[in-house]
Amino acid sequence: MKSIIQLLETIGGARPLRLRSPRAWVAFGIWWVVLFALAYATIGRGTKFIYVDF
Amino acid sequence: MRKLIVPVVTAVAALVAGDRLLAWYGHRHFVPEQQLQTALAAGDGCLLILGDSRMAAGLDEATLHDALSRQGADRCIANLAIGATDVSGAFLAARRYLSGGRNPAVAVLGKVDDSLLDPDPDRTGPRMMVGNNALHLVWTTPGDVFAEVNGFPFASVAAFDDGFRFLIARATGLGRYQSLVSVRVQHMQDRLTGADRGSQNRFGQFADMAALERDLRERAAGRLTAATKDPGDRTAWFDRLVDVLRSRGARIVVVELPMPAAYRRRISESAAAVEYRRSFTASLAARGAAYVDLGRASWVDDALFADALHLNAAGAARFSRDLGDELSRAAR
Repeated sequence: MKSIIQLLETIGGARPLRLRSPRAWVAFGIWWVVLFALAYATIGRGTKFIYVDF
Repeated sequence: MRKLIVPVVTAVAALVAGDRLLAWYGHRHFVPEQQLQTALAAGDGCLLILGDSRMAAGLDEATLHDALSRQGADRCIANLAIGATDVSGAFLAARRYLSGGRNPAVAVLGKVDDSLLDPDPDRTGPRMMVGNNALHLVWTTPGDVFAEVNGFPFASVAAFDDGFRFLIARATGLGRYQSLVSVRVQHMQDRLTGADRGSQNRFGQFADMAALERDLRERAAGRLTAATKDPGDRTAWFDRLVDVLRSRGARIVVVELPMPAAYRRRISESAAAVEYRRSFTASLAARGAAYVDLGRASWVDDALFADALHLNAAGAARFSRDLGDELSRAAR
C-alpha cells in the first residue's frame, strides 16, 4: 500500500522523481507524450459532427 | 536541468513521429481527399459537381449519364459535392481540383436560396474547421488566412487569435486531422457507454438533419433580406469561385436544388427569396453563367426526401434526369 501511495505521489508531482539511468529519462519523455496523446485524443469529445466522412 | 534535455528531446522526437504518422494516415482516410482523387482520375473536360450534401444527395451519376447520353452530351463526372461544407468549401474544392491539372468543361454548382452567400461569422474560423470542413486546413495555403479570417491580423484581438489558430492548426498533421481522431474517439466512447445514436441515414442522425434544417431556415430569411438590400455584399467566396473557374475556361451552371415543402413555403417562396433569385440570376447572366431552377420542378414532393434536407434515391434520379436534360440543352 505504501509503495502505491508513493507511486501516486510521484506521478502527481508531490514527490520528486529520482531517475538515474538514461533509459529512465527517455521513459519520462515518453510519459509526457502519453499524457499529450490522452489530452489530444479526448479534446474533441464534445464536438458535434453532423455530416462527416472519416 | 541538463538531465531534462533527454526527456524533452525524446518527447519532441515522438511528437514529430506521431505528427508524420497522423498526416500520412489522415491524408489517406480524409474522405474529401479521396473524393478529390476520384474526381481527378475521372479525366479532363468533365462535369465538375460542386455543392454540399444536398447536391451530393441529389446526384445519381448513372441517371445523369443516361440523360446526357440521350442528347449526345455525355462526359465524365468529377463529383466534388462535399457534405457539411458551404460556398467557401466549394471554392477550395474547385481550386484544389484545378491545381491538380484538370480543366472542367462545365462546373455545376448546387444552391439552395441563400447558400451561395458568404457564411455567417459564427460559422467561420478555426473552431468550425472540423469534420469535412477540415478541408479548410488541408486544402489551403498560409496566404488564405486573410480570406478565412475576416479582419486578420489587426482588426480585432479575436481576428488575430483566429488567424493565428488557423495558421498553427494547418501547419501540422496533428492540427489538420485532429477532428478525425475526435470522430474515432466519439465512436469508441459511444460503444463503451452504449449510447443510442438514434435513427440515421448516410448523412447522419435524422434529429441532426431536422435541427440543421431549422437552423438554415431561421438564418435564411435574414440573410436573404440583407442580400436583397445590398446585392454585392457577402459574395466574396462565390466571386472567388467564379473567378477561379472562369480562369480555366469552365462554363458555370448554378442549379437550384429542391427542398421539402415546409422549407419551400417559408423561405423559397418568400418575397425576399424571389427578389434575391431575380437579382442573382441577372448577375449570373452578366458573368456568362447559367441558372437552372429545379427547386420548383413539378415532381418535387416530400415523399422524395430521405430526411429534412436530402433527396432520397428516387428524388435523386428525378433531379439528375432533369439536370442532365438542362445541361444537354445548354450545351447545344
